[in-house]
Amino acid sequence: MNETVMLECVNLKKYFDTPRGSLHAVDDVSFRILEGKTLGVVGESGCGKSTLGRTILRLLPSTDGKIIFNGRDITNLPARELSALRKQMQIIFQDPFSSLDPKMTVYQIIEEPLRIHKTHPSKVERMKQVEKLMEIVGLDSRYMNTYPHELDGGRRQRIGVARALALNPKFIVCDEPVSALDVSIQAQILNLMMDLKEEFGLTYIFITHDLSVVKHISDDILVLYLGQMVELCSSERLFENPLHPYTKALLSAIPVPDLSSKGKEADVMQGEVTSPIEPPPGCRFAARCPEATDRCFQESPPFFEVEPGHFCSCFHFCHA
Amino acid sequence: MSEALLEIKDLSIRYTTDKVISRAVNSINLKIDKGEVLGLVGETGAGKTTTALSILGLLPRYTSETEGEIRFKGHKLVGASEKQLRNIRGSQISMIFQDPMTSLNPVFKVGRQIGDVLKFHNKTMSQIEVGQKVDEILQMVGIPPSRKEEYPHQFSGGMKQRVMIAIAIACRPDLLIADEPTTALDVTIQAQVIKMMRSLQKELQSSIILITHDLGIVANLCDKVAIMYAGEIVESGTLEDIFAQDRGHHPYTLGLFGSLPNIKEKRSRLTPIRGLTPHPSELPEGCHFHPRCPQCMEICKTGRTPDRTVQNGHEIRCHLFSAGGRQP
Amino acid sequence: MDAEAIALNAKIRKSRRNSQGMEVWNRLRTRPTAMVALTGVIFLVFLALFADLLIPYEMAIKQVAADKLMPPGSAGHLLGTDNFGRDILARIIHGSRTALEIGVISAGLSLFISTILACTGAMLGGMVDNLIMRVIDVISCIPGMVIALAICAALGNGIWQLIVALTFSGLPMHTKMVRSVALRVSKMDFVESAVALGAKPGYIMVRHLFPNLTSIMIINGTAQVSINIMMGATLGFIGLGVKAPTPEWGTMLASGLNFMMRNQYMVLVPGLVLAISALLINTLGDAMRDAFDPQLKGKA
Repeated sequence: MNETVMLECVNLKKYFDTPRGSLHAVDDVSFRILEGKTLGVVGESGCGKSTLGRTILRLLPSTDGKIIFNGRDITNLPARELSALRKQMQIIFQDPFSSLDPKMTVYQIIEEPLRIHKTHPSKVERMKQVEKLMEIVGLDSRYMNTYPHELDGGRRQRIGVARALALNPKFIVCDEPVSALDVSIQAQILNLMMDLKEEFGLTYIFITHDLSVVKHISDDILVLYLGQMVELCSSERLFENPLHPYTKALLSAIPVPDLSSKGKEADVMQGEVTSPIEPPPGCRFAARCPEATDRCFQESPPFFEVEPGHFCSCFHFCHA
Repeated sequence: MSEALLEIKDLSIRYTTDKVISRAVNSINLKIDKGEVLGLVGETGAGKTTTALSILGLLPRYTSETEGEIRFKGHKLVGASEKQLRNIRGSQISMIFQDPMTSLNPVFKVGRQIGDVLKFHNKTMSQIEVGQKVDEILQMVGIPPSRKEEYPHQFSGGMKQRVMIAIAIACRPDLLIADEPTTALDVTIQAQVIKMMRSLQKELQSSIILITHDLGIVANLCDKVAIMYAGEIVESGTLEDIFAQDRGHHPYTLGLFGSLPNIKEKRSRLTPIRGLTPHPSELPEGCHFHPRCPQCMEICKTGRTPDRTVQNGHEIRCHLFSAGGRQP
Repeated sequence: MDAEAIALNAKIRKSRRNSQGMEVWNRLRTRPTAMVALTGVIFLVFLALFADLLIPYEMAIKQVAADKLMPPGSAGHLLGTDNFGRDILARIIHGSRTALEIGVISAGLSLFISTILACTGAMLGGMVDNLIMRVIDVISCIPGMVIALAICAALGNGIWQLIVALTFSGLPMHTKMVRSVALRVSKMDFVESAVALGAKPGYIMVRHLFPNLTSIMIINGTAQVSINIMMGATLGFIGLGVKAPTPEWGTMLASGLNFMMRNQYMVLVPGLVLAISALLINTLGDAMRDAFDPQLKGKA
């Protein structure tokens, strides 16, 4: 079994300067992903998951901490080397409408990475490669000269996947790739992504707000709240035995599509997400937590291993 | 037997743009009684929003054609005058729209927007009475009345949706149409809003048409369910009828359930419906679902769409179940 | 290329049927007002291009008629003659060339410079963007007329000076509008995708930004041509721009004023021609905006 660490984040921070103060979008995130595995990053709006994905890919400069990709510290890599690195790490976007240039045909969109990195010098080679990629993602080659606006969300998302695969990356950040799609199409794209992972040995970070989606595709799950790590463990464990109150609230809030849900009153979490700007000391979830104590408002709980492979940041499990 | 609150008979709606005809709704039948919650389920392009808009007479006048009947408390809505419809809108039938970000007027305070609805339908109310009523309504939706002097941008997504709901229930409508009211919200906020809607419904005894693609919410809130595909209601019945696994269902319904990632189940692969939803201007012949149906038969490909088969209120539009076929 | 490659090549050649340009054309085609305006504009362009072939230039600048001030409908002179005996129809037709030269060249230059300024500002942001926008703000504070007067005073009177003046006065509107579109485009995911693929800013500007600006440029450009033709005529009216005896609608209008009492056609003819031309181009511009505007977002 392959134990290579594909990606490691060490105390990664990303803060934004706003007129009202420093916005702590990603605050001290650390984790490791092994080659060929999928890490699901889950959280609601404002938790920093998209920012995390982009910071890892160096699309945004990090504020502090380290990003180690395939053993190499890429945190402050200069532009030229970064360009070469782009071949190995790619991104699939959420919105199938805005992630494709409306003025380019499907062929041109998928061909673009090949052109930028000059991987296939002759046009014939590029054409054949694009055809192959389209086949891999399940797009009929007759769509080569159509424009994105003529196609539906599912096909457009497949174009995005083909484009991400063009350079044979090892690592792909998937930023809510199925959230904007209809339910039946979601399933198609999810299956496609799982198949591609198997076939090409890809490593994914799968960002989503939908816990039911992430269960199917992830090996491990990281739950974020207001930029901080709240819980990290294997996918099975999270659903069998969630520890953190936020994770539990998140799970119970999901309406389950079967008769057991009828008339069920979920334990609904009160209040709203507090602001990530100049956050006060203490646990960020304390204001909404049904189990909060005084200590929770004063000190920040550490993120530590409660049981092997299962991490959580909550004083109720901290026996230190 | 008392009259149904809302009854839709053989409703068909066509849009014509740039010489292309889109058959958005194709001969649907629906009935809602007082106090019932009906879930109208379907994906993009199924015709759910069009149906909702037609109830309120909000379809574009020159590019759409409506045939069939919609009766609300016995009165005909299709063909009613704009004046009649205006009196009904907001006071007897209200709508909650999908996107709270764009559905509120950014330059008016929230209290004013709720007050406007009250004043329009209750011309004799005094300013003070309106103010009191607004406070009452805000409390019902869980917003502190002191916030009525704030503007929409000062509210978060979930709170904005509550304001929308407040505007919709201000006049205690008999029928509330909620078009994907929680799609744009986070899961935990969605849970709050659903809980609130349930308690409101019990208190006001309003009927609700809940338009959604989320079968989980349907299971939680609805009494009856109608599943739409390509402008038709392919299956309808009580919640138990639709969700029961030991019964026959329309293949699309089965496909929908199969493509849902379910946190309670342990499947490793989802079973999506192959193919894509047809565009309303290019509907397939025969049964509109046949190109995607795993149980497609010869008869499905040509001729008319299947008849409705009804058993104890559970209706399915599928040749598999029609005369001589299986029973639902 | 082998057979397989040839087949592939055929597949990737852009389908003209489906491009956005074709869609815009289809939408224009179905609107009667748009087609009337388009026909009118094409006619105008035709007049300007083939003026020499239609009526000799001499008739526009020298006395050709026996009498001066012949009214429209007189023999051999469809629109009459002016106080110098010059054929008015000839002056109108050759004047259209002047009008369009002024209008189109200045609008084109304006657009070109604005787009470069706007894209630079939008892509680079920060101080550069600030600087460009402040300069533009200064220009927009000065009325176009005053700019024109200043330039003509400094550089003398003539058609090129007019064109320079009009180019300047058109800059602010275009730069601001193109910049706001450029900002919006630069925030779209497909630009971020290009960055993630390793593309450099210059490549992104050319490959992704510019093509997405064509719709706003066409809409603005058409509107600006109309505005500039009017402005050019206005400046001609007050005596700036072309020198006599070059035919120009504005100067014709001005000299016609002296004869307004008895020979109204001297004012009416150039006035109407100006108004109709501006109307046609404006209508075309509006129709273009409508045709570009329901941008199909590909709803299935």
